[in-house]
Amino acid sequence: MKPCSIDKKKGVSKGRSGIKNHLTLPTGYTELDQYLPGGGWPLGTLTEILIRSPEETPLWLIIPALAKLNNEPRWQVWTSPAHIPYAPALMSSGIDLSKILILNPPTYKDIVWTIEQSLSSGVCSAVVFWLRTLTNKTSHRFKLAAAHGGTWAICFCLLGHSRNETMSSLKFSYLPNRYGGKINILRCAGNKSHHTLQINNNIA
Amino acid sequence: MYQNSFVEHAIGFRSDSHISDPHDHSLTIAEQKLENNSATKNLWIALYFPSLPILATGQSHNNQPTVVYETISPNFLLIYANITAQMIGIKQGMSPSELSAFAPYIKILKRDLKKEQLIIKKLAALANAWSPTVMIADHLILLLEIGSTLRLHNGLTSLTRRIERSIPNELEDYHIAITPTPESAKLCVKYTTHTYLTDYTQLVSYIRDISVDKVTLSDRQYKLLSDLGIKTIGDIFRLQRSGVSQRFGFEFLNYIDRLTGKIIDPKPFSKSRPSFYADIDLEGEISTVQQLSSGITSLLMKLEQYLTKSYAAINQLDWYFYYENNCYEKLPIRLNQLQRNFVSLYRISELSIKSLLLSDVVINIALYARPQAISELDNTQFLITANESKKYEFLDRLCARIGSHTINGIRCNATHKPEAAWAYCTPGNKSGFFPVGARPFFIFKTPRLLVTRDRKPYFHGTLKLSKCERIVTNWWEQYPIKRDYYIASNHQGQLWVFRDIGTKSWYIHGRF
Repeated sequence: MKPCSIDKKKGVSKGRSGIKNHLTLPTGYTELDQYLPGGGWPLGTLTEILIRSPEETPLWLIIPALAKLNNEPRWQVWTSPAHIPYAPALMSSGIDLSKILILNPPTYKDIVWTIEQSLSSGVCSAVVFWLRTLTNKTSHRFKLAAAHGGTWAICFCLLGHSRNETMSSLKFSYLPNRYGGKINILRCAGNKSHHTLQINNNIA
Repeated sequence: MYQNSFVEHAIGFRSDSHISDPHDHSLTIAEQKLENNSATKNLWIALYFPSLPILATGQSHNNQPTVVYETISPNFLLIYANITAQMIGIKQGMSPSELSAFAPYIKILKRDLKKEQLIIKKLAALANAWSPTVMIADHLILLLEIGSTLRLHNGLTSLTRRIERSIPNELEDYHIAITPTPESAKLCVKYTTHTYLTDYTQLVSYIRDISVDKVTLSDRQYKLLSDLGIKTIGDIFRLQRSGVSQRFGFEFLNYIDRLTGKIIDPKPFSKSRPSFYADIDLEGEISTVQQLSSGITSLLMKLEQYLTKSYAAINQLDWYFYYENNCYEKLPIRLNQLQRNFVSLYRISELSIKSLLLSDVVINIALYARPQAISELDNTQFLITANESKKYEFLDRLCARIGSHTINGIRCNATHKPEAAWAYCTPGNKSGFFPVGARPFFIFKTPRLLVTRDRKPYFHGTLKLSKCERIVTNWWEQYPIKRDYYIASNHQGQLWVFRDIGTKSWYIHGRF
């Protein structure tokens, strides 16, 4: 068994067996779970999903996990959502709407402050947010805040900025298609190889 | 003298009447002795504002026939028709099919109950100037006990003149009724525009001619009254008490007794609350927010002392900053839970004040708050857990930094019209569940027109459509819809599209 190697440039510790210290939550899609360390979404850390445009946000991918987390007596925060989260659809998926907070901070500075406060507060089970781009510094702050608050952070970023190095524990790109979407896992702690997989959502 | 006149009156109903034991249930209601003599000292004013629903919609009607409706699922209720609508034959209680005959000519507005309640509460606060005992009844009626304050107002005529002068012009079609009991005042104010009945002994004879339509009853009770041939209150007085109790229930008998003043009628009354106000003159050139902290600290400590002494708490406070140039700036802060702790109030005030841009040197700061007595709160108010408390403190911090208008909860509405099936609400509000078909997680605020090719919808490619779901709303709604919805998919993903049946155009409404 190889010892853990420390990448001195990035300051990231990489282990063969993947994320050791994070709880995980099954995604609801077995074809995705088998490629994720711990068999699900990593909680208490940052997940970054790259999309072509905010309209193509694959909410169906994260909703099953959000519905499970919704059982906790904590808020679920949606910061600057791209469009109106549709209450009847969320409720049909098992989400308790009384735990949802929709925030629309007026400035970029306020958006970042709100996200960080929500992640670190400990009273939020998940924070979903949309940012045009996520820098290394900001992602580091968010990751630390998520760890402090035990919160699952989900960031939707534009695909054009995929080259930015960020500190997210899980990062993948998403392209929609007729049956659901194609996911290309770009980073997944403890797993070096990229994976591309088709996930069907059984809606159409 | 009083009892004799009552017996004479009773004889008018039945020729074989006589005075008997008041607890004898074989007697009619009219023949019972009235035990509660204190009712004669009471006098009540009822003010009824029939046009409040239309005022609350905020829409002007400009002499156009206008009606206001509400939907208490599944029933449609026409609750108000203006004079112009009444002149063409529209009346309260009309069914949708009857109203459809007038459809193109009338304006149909949905009731805004929340705004009505706001207006009636303001009127209740105004009414406190005439009586310390003010009640709101049936959303549109104010009840005031004036027997104890007549001397203060120099008599009834002087009081009614003051009331007439104080009612806002927009509500000038109000009704007024003055009677010895609150229930009879409520009844008379709906029956006619002006009632002045100060003599208790004439109460029964006055109200006996009032139609039973004016009484709030269930459909079953109305039907029963109609089947028995009972049309007026006087007809009810002729019935045996035991019979009334059996057929209509004890509550109804109780209501009749309260109407005639036979039994007392305690009611909760609305009361305007005392407020807290304190200010402090600042020394030196205070032009930055940081320099305000000592003044803020001093005022908040005074507030905390006041709240502790008066056993109260607050959920809102207003800061005022007065400038050297005689202008001022107001900073309202709303809290999601009641607070009276200095540290919490200071933290939230500090976050809010940080965003202030002082336009000049500040010479005075003032703090205004409306405390709520803890005894008036729901029992569970201070039994929330530490975690719940933290959740709401977090919310308060967010409100203080980014403004409460940027923070919302969401809820479902009981309608199948997609754009109306959701709404923003206060965070933490419970929502009812209304089962629907497949719905997208994102909906667009307004549907977007889709291009068509060969009369089929096109979105960066041909769309494959799923089974159709037709959604049609009620014709009387302000913006009725008739649409066929589909889940459409292609290489761009899955969309929620519809075809408008009227215009035959295609639109995209949301994305899955």
